[in-house]
Amino acid sequence: MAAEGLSKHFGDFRAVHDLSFQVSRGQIYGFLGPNGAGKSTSLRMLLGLIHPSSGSVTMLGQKVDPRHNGVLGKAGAIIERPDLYKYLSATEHLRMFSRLSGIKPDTARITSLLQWVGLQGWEKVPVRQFSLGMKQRLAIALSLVHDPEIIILDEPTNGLDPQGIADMRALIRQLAGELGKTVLLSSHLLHEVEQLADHMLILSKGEKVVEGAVKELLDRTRMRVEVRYLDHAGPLQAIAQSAWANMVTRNETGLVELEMKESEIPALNQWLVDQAVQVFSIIPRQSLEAYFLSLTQSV
Amino acid sequence: MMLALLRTELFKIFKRPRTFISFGLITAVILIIELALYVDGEKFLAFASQGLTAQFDIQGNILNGYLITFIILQTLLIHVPLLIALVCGDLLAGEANMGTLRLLLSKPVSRTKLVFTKLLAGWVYVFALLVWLAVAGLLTAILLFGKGDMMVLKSTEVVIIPMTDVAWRYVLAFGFASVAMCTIAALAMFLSVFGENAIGPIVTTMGIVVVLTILSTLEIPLFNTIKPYLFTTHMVGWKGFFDMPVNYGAIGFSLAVLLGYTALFVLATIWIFNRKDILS
Repeated sequence: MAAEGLSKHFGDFRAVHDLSFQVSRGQIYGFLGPNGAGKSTSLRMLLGLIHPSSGSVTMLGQKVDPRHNGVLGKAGAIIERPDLYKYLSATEHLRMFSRLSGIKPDTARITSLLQWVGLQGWEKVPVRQFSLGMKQRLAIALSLVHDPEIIILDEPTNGLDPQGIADMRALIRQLAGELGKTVLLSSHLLHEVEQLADHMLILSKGEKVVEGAVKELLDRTRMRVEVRYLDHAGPLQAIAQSAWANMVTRNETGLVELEMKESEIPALNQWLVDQAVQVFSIIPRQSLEAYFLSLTQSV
Repeated sequence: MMLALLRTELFKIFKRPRTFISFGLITAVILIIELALYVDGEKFLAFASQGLTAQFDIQGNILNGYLITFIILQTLLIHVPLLIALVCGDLLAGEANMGTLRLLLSKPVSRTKLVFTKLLAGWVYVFALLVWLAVAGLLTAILLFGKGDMMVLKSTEVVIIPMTDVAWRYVLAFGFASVAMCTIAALAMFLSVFGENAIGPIVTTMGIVVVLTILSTLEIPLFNTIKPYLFTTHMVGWKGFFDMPVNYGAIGFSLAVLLGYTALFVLATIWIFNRKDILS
């Protein structure tokens, strides 16, 4: 899936400007940005819900056109809230959306999908009785009913309780892992994208700030690494004479804190072992939010 | 695909309790009118035909099922547009309000097909409503009041239609009324394309129908030039089937105006909807 020079203006307001990116088959691609960055507008343009002011979207080699959106048969999506027909049951939704996707409703597939998203026992219950998490899971099932190759999820954990968030993240991992789908995931939560995505794009004020492999991007930033060790003799003196000295931000009895890249942690660990320091823990406390803010506020 | 879409749209319309409120209301109004006429019908008829009885000797079952149905139709066909607006004004705006429009359009459904099938589903609802009106009205009226020659009182004449000559007129009158109500459905759907909730299109549809009906009925020369071009003027064209002889030319013109408006509303809806950004 690719976007090329995608822009959208609402009157004088520039919601998205010259956005280009490419999502490869099988990736979980994170679409990251603060609220109002233009994520939903971009995703709506990908699905042909919003007409771009300029630029184009290609999905599986076909151009997406709001008037002829046959290519959407190969995509499934949840955009913002999981709004559903309150008076219909989960099964009725799945049967209806099977037909809309051009396939005959298959009872066995519907049952297995509902089981997969953890809604067994709720098949015949009207959606008005569902919690937000259950609606979100049904929306995932709806997006999968026609076995699409691409899944687009816009802020899928918004409004969910901690258990709901954990369940949703597990489902997203399964989408890419077990089912081999390509997932485009938008979120304003950096740690969510970090946990789930292989690649990510950071969007701010409608413009792309940075794009690349998540590990690579996160490695560009320095993190706080907290080392707790067994020492009754006071602060770790050896570190002051070592190559790590200029990275030390705090050094007190039993605790030393350094600012470094993630890739430097194994070398630090090795040095501590060589120095016979008895380490309790090495905890990287990455300042992801600071990194995110520095990028998004610089636009 | 069109059939599958139509099936889902009909399923959605007939799954909602509000759809059946219309059927309930129509039944209630029919029964109220029939009960009132059953109790006090003779007085009503004497009042309505007071000028005639002085000059003519009227015999037989004048207050029969056919006349009662005509009275019911005259009363109800003014209010049925409200019931149609309630459902058809909700077809697009209601989906936008619920947030389900983006769910629908993120499936491989062409916007033109979606508008068409929603409108078709709306028309099926209109047709079902009118069939119900015909069956409930005509059957209960005939059961309660029996059959007889039909006397139609007009402002300048009285038309007596033999009992054997009535049935086909009702069939064609209901057919014509269906076309008129389909125009209202298309108008409500057209207004629905602008709204993010159904109240606006429903109220605006009713507002337009009420204002244009007033313009159509007011006998003011200023409005006479525009009257033939207002769809509301032609919505009562079904009454033409109870003329002797039937003026097919006038009925055909009314039908053409109604179909022209319907086509205009449908094409405008498709044109606008295809250019609309789905932001709800």
